[in-house]
Amino acid sequence: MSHPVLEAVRRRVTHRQVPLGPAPALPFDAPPGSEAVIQRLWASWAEVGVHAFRCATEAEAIRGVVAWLRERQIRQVLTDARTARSYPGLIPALEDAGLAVMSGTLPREEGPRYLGLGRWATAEAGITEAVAAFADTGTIWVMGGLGGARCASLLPPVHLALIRRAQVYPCMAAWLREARASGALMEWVEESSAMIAITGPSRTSDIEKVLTLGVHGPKEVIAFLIEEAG
Amino acid sequence: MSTPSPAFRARIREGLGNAVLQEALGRATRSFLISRLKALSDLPDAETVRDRARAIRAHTIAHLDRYLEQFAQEVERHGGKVFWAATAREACDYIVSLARSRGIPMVAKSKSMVSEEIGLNHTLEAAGIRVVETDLGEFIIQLAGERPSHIITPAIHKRREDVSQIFQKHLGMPPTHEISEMTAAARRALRQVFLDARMGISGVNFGIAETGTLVLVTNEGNGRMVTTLPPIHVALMGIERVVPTWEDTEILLRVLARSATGQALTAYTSFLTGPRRRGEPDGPEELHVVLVDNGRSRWLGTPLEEALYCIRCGACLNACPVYQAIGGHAYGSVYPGPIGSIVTPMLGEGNGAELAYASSLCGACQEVCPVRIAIPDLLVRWRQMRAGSLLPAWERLGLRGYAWAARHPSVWARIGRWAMALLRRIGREGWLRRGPGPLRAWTAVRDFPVPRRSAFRDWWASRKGDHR
Ligand code: SF4
Repeated sequence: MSHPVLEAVRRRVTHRQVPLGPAPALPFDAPPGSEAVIQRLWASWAEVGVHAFRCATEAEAIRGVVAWLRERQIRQVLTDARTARSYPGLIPALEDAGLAVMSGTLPREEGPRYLGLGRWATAEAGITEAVAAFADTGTIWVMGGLGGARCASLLPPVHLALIRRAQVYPCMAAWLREARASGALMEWVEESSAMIAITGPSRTSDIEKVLTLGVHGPKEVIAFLIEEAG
Repeated sequence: MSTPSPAFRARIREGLGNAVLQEALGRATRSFLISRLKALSDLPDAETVRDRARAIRAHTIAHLDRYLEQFAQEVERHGGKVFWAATAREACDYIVSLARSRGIPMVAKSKSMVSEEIGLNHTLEAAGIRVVETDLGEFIIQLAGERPSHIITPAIHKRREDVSQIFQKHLGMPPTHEISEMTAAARRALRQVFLDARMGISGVNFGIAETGTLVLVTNEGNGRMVTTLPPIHVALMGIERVVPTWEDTEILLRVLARSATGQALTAYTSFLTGPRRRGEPDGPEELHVVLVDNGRSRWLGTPLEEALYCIRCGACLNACPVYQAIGGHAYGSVYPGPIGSIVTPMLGEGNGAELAYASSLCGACQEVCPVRIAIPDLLVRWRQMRAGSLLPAWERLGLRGYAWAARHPSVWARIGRWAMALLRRIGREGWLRRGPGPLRAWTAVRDFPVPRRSAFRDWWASRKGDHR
């Protein structure tokens, strides 16, 4: 590869050795899915403004999602194929409850794409699975990739996320360590144009430093933590 | 004596005289500093993390050729297009011609310091393309026709009444004092912009070399919108922003938000690799990464290359007593504050070396910098470089005289007594605000306290009686 900018950089870089020094400790360390990790996640969620429910089973979580939407009188939801794959009972349960469910794919041609987006933008809630959660910061880790829609956790005013206990890591560094060792990290990168770490609702303090939620993204993030393994 | 230009002096005076700005800046910088302290004290091993963060930046800059090349190759391997821009002009031209070739009338932008550095908005608008800033603070500033005063909260100098007025005028919002209503009005207006825009332009916080991944850090979510909804995403990135690996990036993320806003992480950290893939339901159809040099490569291998370690957290601004007093506008540059004073003359045409004087060299900036940049040292280097080329002959002569007098105690003492007598005569109410001759330039931006009755050495001698 060659370009004048790259050549200018090549001419001037020092290539000096920089000792990296000792590796710092993990921000928080405990086995994934352990009670210590769950406790910490709970505290972090409270701090960043994520509302959370603990559910014994997947079925209970899905019932919880439906009940929550009903209570808010929400009629239109946006979800995606990735979530439906991991939680096959979700879309049928939503439809049984009389909710209009949007998922699927935006067309690639400009006109139809635009119309599709406009329809998605009418959703009152978005539902996605999380691939992991990080306890130290209260972060929900969502992915694009096959069937993974970026918009489901972005466009609607509320984002509901489904997470299994075993997916809760002490911190992002711990997840990275495991994903690097197993090769999952590179698989994610090859498959997914977007990996998003969501830490609480959309927020701004741009006017007089007063915290206001939901300026562009969701105003509320609701997590359903499932005890049983998938 | 080398001093700020008249324009810079006028901006400083304006900043100092603006009570609203002063109060807002004071409030904002204080609260950022307090949050930062708490966030870092909650982070285990924070000092080791900072050492590691610095080492990562130093290593990357020392091997920038290798990591830049790898980064560019990986972006392309994942379907993105890379454009290398040697100058601001080249970067702007590329984006304008891209927008023109697709017949794009309007672009949605999230915050990007590089876009301001290269004057992108101006160029796009001159080409008839409307630019909408979507970060709430930037949006307010854009509607008001002003410039940002702080890199993290650009509209910090606006009170809620001002924002209400601006939104009433431009968005048709009904009168209100509720900040939540103003935010809701902005959400409605900008939501339509996100949906309509056929091109989104963003900055980049880090570019991960091993995978060509762009890392973007935002709180509002506008960064996610402009990189997701429009069919074309253009990412503007300074060539120094690359980071070798994901693990390195995670280390930098540990300190970035904590130093910037005192959050452990911002609400959204996006890791974007290439455009929308096969099988993905959404995302941009095209990704263009514009790698901007604009003077950066000139400084590799020089002592000033350390300034390229900066991760733009803004902590040094908040900590700087000069910034707290004069505000971001006074610097008259895209990058304000201590690091801005170093970086500004390094970029583009290299204007702004005078900014190096807008510092008292107190060291507060280096104290808070997450990658421990020796900011005061670098500022002194700029002063030396500028002085070396600009110092007039009489000043160099004066300095030689000073050096001689300082080596001769009796001469020194006599000059001291003489100077004190003079200062007491021309000072007013204990302050010298306008000095004579060569002192005039110095006192133009500083007030000098008139000395007390006697010199320390005389006082000491009178007490101890054994003065040698
Ligand atoms: S110089 Fe350091 S403190 Fe200042 S913005 Fe850059 S990284 Fe932050």
